[in-house]
Amino acid sequence: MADQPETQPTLLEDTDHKRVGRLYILFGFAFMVVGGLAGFALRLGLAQPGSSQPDEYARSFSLHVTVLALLALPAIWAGLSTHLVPLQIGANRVAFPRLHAASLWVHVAGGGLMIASYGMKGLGVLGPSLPLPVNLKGPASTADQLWVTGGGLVAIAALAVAISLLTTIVTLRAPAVRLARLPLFTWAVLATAAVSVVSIPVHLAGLTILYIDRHFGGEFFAAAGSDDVWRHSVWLLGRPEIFLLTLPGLGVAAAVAASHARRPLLGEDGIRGALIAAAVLSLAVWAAGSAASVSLLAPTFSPFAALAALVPLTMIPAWAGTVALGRPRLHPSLGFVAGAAAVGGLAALNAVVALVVDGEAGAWSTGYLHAGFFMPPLLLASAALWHWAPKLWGRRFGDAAGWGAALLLVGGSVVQSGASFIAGYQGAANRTAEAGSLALNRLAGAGAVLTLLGLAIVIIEIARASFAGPERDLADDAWGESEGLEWTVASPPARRNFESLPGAAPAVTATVDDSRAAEASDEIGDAQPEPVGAAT
Amino acid sequence: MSTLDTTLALPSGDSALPARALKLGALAAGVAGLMLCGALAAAYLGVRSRAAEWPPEGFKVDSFLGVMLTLTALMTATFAAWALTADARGQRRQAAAALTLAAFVGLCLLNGVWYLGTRVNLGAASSPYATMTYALLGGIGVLLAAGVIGLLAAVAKVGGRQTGPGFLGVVQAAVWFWLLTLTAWIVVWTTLFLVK
Amino acid sequence: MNPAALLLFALSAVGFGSGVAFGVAVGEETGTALLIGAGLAAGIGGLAIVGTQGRDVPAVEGGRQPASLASSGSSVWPFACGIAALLIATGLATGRGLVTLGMAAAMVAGVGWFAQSWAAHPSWTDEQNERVSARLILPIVLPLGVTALVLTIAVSFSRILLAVDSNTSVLLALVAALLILGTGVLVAVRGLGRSAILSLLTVGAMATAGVGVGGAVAGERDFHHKGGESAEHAAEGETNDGHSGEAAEEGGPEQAGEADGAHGDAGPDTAGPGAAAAAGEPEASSPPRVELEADGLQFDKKALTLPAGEVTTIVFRNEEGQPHNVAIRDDGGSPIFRPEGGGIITGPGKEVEYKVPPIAPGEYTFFCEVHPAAMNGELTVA
Repeated sequence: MADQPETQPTLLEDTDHKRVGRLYILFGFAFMVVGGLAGFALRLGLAQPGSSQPDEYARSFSLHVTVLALLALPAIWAGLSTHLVPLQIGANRVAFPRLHAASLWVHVAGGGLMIASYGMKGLGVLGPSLPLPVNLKGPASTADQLWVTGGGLVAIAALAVAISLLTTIVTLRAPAVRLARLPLFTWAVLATAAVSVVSIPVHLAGLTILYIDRHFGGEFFAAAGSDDVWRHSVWLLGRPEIFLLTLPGLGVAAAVAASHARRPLLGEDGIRGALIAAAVLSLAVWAAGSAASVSLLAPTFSPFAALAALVPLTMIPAWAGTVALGRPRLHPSLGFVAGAAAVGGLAALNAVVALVVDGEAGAWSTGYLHAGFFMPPLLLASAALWHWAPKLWGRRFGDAAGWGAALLLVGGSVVQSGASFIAGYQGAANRTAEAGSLALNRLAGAGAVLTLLGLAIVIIEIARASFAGPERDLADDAWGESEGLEWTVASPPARRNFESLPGAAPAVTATVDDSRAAEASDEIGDAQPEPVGAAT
Repeated sequence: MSTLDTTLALPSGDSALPARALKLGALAAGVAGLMLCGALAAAYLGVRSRAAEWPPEGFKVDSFLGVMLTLTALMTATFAAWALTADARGQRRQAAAALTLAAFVGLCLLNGVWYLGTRVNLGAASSPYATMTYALLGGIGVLLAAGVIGLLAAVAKVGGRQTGPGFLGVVQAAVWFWLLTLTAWIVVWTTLFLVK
Repeated sequence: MNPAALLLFALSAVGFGSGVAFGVAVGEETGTALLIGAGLAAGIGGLAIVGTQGRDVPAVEGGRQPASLASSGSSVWPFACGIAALLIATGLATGRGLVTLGMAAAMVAGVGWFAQSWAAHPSWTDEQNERVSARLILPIVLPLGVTALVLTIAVSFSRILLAVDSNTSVLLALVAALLILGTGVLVAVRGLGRSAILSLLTVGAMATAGVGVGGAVAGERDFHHKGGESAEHAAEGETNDGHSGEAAEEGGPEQAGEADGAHGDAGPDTAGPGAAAAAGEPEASSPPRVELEADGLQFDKKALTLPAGEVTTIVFRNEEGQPHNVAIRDDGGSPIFRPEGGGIITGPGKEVEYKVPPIAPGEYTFFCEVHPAAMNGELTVA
């Protein structure tokens, strides 16, 4: 690396938000591989009758859900927002760069401890996947405590990121970027961060109780009334985070739709409102699930929480309308967004069907979890990667790879969750190894293989971009006619993002503010501001 | 060096953190801390409403100690407010003195919480009551420790004349976090000593 | 390829290799998990370096950046915070020694962080900087830091060597020596930069410390191979302390206090696993004594008898990593006897003597205050 400037700090000590963000994304996908493989192991077990022990099954299931929902997806979103938000608001840094960097390492440390705890004997806290605190009445175990303290670190890291992003967006905007006119991705990140600041401490409170209980070998979670404490603070779906996993992605979808349709977003103000509404309504899951329901359905089966899940669906017409009315350019990120809408729609459809058909919770909820809560965020994150790769790595991700990954991920998850849904309607009761009919389980397994292949393509593209380095002569606005300050700096951006202050230069102001009023955004795309970022 | 000149001429972007950034961050952290204690209090109330005996038989809640600690909290809150006013008027010495006092009394409060923890004298997992009590005391203890550290850092910054332009808001940030933490203590105190 | 990445990959290989070796030789999970975890972390770190280094264009051509920008440039303290957090979290789950170490690390990181923010202030000049470094850092902080580092490495390495069996320890020592030699050669031949050497040292120290923690958790190997385990432990039965490496770290006096039943700490930490049980018979004595043992969340006796009207002694032994004590209540549930300060001990292999004041004849219940539902029995005073 002879061409490196001397001033480049080593990886461990760099607090530049772009590098921290990329590291976050890398670690997120590393965790995703762990969680995905655990899920695949589950599928393998289900495809061969009697080959897997219920205990092992519960453990793999817990690993699968915990890693994906607590370690992988949050890290990917944290990375994307850490990298992109300052670029989108015309800032050269995040508010607390060192806090941000610290959160990365704390997240990795906590995630490592959590995963390590699954390798040890005596892990009883399989709880994040289970709505009731089972197996927790016995003596303390080191594995349990490691799981809890690791989870605490992860939560603290997420809290730190949320605080830093919130502060960045509110206080570090360039003068030209008004709060009410924030780019939609940043807007969604703001909503997510604000809700996280309120909701993560509740999870920490639950972990505190759980730690005391597990450290001293107590019986707290056998006491009357402790189920609610568990469900609202420890159980993964008992807290709003599961909804917040999708929320930044809704902003991504809006940005991607507008950018590749080459026209302003349809009903932008409505979408802003809907994003805030979804964020606030996600808090309503605390109100849900206190009935003695023990299924994974609980959080979305209370009216309020169902509303939180419905709001994103109302945005789909706006995205589709934007693309239909614009001059769409067939870009893989659009494919990912469409796929996310389709998979999310499948989940919503089945939620309605489940109201009518007297389905059983077990297999059905596996499908619901996949189609409703895991696949849409993954697809939307992939859309963001393909869309912003020129800013993240200075390279465009491959078109064919993008379409291939989108097809595999969408097809795989439709097959997988579809099979689970049907198994649920047939009455496959539990998520235990014996459950379900073999044919459907094998079908779901095939879907899982497709999904993993799609994930592999995404990871290969990231690795390729990381190793190959930036493209030569990649335009600042890599797609042409994209709105937003991030497209006015070099690809990849200079270490200090903006040489001149956005808002001081009239050309930049135009792209941010005036163009919203003017439908004719075509001309502005051509009117590039001076490439001030390229300081080579 | 022409680049350096243009760099320094920029009014924002890469300039130092605006004062309100630190303050907003501290406020958000304080709200998170308050939420932590609030959630613990909610769990306490939830479990309490279903428990057969609460607190466990033979256990007496020592109200006196709780009242003393709350008085201490009010005292340090007053000092913190004094520091805020002095900082706003640019009175460096007064701000430093007030912060020092607030931090000192804060340490007393922290020590009191610790003492309270040793006085409870229940096995931490012997009953849901004990678990919740230790969780509440532990949560507020960590928050108070963080707050005292923040106050001490602010003392150092004020004393070392490092509150000039570009680094405003250190005092405000420390004080606001501290005040929110004291509010969290009020929540804990209400739960443990008033609601019981 | 970047030398730092190469080193990390090498470290990763060492981590995995020694993890497997440790697992096969000792068969202890925690240590194996930590070793393999270290290998994994080093590998990911190497990949991350290769993947992310230097995609950025240099910031400002030449010249020094304004001080305010430096604060968003580079700092090693966030990473140190991550290490501290890792230590504290692991310590909370396994034992008190690590928590102390983690707290110390957090303190160092916090002070460094604060110092950096201090120096970044526009009023801080280079002249002040030099003065501080001449008067404070070079004469005091540097020697202290180096001493602490060396001590950590030495203690950690000894923990590793003590945890594995003698053949493996010889092998490990050899590997370590070769590693150091190889590094020296590498530095001499390739002429590594200052930052590369520093990061190498840091990573090496951390890896050693991490593995050492694993060794401490695993406990020392048995040095006297005299046949069966129980016979061997009986020989050690004179002392009350568990013979775990960690217990040694935690400090003896505290444990002596616990054994006296005089400590007032209501929340004792669990000792780490792997502490060897010392199952000695206490010497016979004249005042009336009864023995009681706790294991598997149960007392070994369901019924006890004490003489009435006499001070008696309950010799209570805790054989598991759970906090237990013994208290007495009457049938109405009123407390009759409660050890001073709770008297809760956490095993394995901890023993405490409770002096029970004279009790009126009758039927009572003895129970563990921490686990009253599971651990109780009948007490007859006659």
